[in-house]
Amino acid sequence: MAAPEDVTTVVDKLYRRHFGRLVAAILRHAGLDDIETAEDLVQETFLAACKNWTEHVIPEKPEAWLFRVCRNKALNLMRAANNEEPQVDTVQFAADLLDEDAIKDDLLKMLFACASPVISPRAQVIMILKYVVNLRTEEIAAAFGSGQEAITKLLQRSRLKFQEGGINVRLPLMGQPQERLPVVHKAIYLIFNAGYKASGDRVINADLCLEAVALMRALLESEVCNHETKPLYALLLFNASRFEARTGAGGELLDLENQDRLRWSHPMVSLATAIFRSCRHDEMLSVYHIEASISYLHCISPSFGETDWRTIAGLYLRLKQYNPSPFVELSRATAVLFSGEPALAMSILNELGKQHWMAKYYLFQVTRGKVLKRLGKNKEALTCFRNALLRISSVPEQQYIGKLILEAELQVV
Amino acid sequence: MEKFLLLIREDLARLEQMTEAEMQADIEEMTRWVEELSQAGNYLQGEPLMSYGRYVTAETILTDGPFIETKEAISGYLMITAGGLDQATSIAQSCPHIIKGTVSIEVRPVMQI
Repeated sequence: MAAPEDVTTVVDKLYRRHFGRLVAAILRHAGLDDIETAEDLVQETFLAACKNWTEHVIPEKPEAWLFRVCRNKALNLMRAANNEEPQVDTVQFAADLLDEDAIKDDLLKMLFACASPVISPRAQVIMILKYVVNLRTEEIAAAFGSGQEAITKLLQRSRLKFQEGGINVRLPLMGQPQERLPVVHKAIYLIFNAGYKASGDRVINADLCLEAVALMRALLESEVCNHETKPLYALLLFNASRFEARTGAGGELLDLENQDRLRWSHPMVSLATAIFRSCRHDEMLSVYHIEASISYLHCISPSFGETDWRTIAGLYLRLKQYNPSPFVELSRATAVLFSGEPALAMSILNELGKQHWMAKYYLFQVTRGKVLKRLGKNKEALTCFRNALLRISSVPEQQYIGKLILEAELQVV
Repeated sequence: MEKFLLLIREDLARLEQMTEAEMQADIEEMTRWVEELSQAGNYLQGEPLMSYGRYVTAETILTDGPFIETKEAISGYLMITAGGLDQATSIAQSCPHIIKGTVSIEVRPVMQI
């Protein structure tokens, strides 16, 4: 008998590595179109592994065991459905599962399939986390700080959509439409952002960021890329380099101004810089070129005060042309403030505040408070910070704002 | 990318009975969702509406309108871009208040002229 905790460790590891591709392999080899059936089968296989290995021993080659059992289950299912011996190349099936190139190929196919334009960007992200990154539903829920039920529902709906539209995980990779690449890029970008947010489980969130970086690397290596791939990869690396430095010794949130720049990951910054330099003069630019430029300027600056804020403010203005969003404008106001023009920052904010809901957004209030403070209006700044505190329920962000309030209070006294 | 109007409908009487804290939580959820849409490049604009207004027909002007009486009055709108009606629908389904079941959303493609 194997120790249950050893079995759990091995099974968890195998799940993280193989869940999505086992589903993909079954869909492909068994000629199934229905993800849910394939998934149930893979789920059963993992359960069988847990049970069997706890009762006996963990096999010497656990992966081979898993693949064999999974394949047999698929064959049984097909026999039951057709009443005849299925025509499956079982040798190829098993060989595929162990081949490193096939693993990468499966992963990318699944990635492109999940980035389906018929589902929302959020649904794409969750499908990718489930079938490419192989997170369990409860882990996805923890990363988004949402209920498991909502995630389960969303996965169900997306699978149904795929079934209606005929899922294309069985197409060869090079046949994947090039026009889907922007959708894939956006989905990876959103996975990274979901991980980068302060809410949600910290360990899982760090994982999401690293997985997004790994997916970008896989895309670059696969040569299924376009002019957006490199700058996006650089952007994610620049941002990932600051991940650890965003939290202080007491677990508190640190903004860019208060981060210890020595704690940024310098190998990551160097790699990102090399990639960024190789694409920054591209003829065709993308929104990722601009975002990577902003991140680059932060990363090469020796201190917060010495940052080239004026150029960053200009870059936000260009970003606005691609994505005319009030959140981009809010970031621009911050850059304008630190470039030494608080009055101009204030006028941007005044314009933004005309949007009813924006005025109630906690980051708007925080930014407004910072601008007012710079203008010497400490009392009004304090009101803004207090307003922000009322409008946020995430604990790390509440603590961060609490600190701003304390600082402002000391100024007022 | 095509443009879509999302008309948010809900029970206005229920909205009026909400406490300040519930209202605040509601706005925070919606703002996070809008931020998410914006990051994904789908958000164009949107606003909540007051719960009163006027209802005009050829014959009459009704003060307050029939809004309050219906369980499904328009309480706000969103303009978004999406890859098609399917994706626009899927985006509407991701609204936190749809998930909670407190609103319904009408998804209408904007006519391209």
